[in-house]
Amino acid sequence: MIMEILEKLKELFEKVLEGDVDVSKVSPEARLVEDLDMQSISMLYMALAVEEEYGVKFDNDDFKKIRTVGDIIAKIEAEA
Amino acid sequence: MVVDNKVEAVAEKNAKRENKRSAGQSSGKAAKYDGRHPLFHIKYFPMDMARFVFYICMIGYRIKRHYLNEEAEKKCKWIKGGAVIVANHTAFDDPLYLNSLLWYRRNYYLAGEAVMDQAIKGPLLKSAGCIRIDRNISDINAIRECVRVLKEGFTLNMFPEGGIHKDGDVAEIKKGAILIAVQAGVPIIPVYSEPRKNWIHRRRAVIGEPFEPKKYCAKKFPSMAELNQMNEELLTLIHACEDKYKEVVSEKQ
Repeated sequence: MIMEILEKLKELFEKVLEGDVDVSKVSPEARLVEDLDMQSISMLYMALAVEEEYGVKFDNDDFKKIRTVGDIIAKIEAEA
Repeated sequence: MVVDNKVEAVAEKNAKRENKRSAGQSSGKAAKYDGRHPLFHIKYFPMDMARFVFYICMIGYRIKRHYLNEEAEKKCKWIKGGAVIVANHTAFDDPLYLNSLLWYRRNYYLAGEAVMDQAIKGPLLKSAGCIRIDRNISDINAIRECVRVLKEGFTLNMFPEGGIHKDGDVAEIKKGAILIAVQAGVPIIPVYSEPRKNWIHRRRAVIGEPFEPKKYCAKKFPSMAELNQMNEELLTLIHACEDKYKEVVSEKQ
């Protein structure tokens, strides 16, 4: 399940964050800011795209907790 | 049989009403506001009161409007429907000046958490149309609220430079305005407002041609690279407005 979501996330990142994030670095342990160099606008955009794709809803509190790609996968698993 | 006739009559009446409405809109007779609510409405009482009071306060200092070209004048003389108004930020009271420029619309603004969390100022600003944004985090709630008001047909005024630049030079703009406009599916109207020279000076503003992200990229989620391109395009439009302002000033001198 996790790998399935990860693969889909990679596709989504490639489509939406093209030129902003190195998709080859995307793994469950990858940190969004430190490893993937995501800026706040990229994180927002990614969250909106994930919401659209999986029907989950991100909140400001989620942004305080989410640090890695694995955290996004856990959020999707819990809510989707 | 009688019921059928009645249903047909109602359907005919509705169709006529719909035709009349669409004819009014296409002939340019539509109202100066978004067409959904009148200029003043009890539902928006605090917002309308704030607009009225601010306009009265600013009546002597209201902005002098210019347009980039005839096309911009035609499209932006009376802005209808949802739109993001993007302007350069030269002074703390720019929202009041923009309010005098768009006096006929209910304008929403983004305000930082430092102001919006204050006990009296916060609720007052909120009722006057300010949307709270927390600048320390990626505030998705604020983005969602902005998209909602735009989809409802209001205008959102933004200063995408991310701070005040008193000299009036626009070096770069942040991508938030583009992202919000793309998500809401509304145009962006670039405005260049003159930096203040003194307190008794009526400032000028140049309104540019609307930038339609939809025409640029039809996808709901364009790639970040496409967003960057759109941002560059928008910056070029703001620079064009700046050049027009300089032209206007040199003509007057």
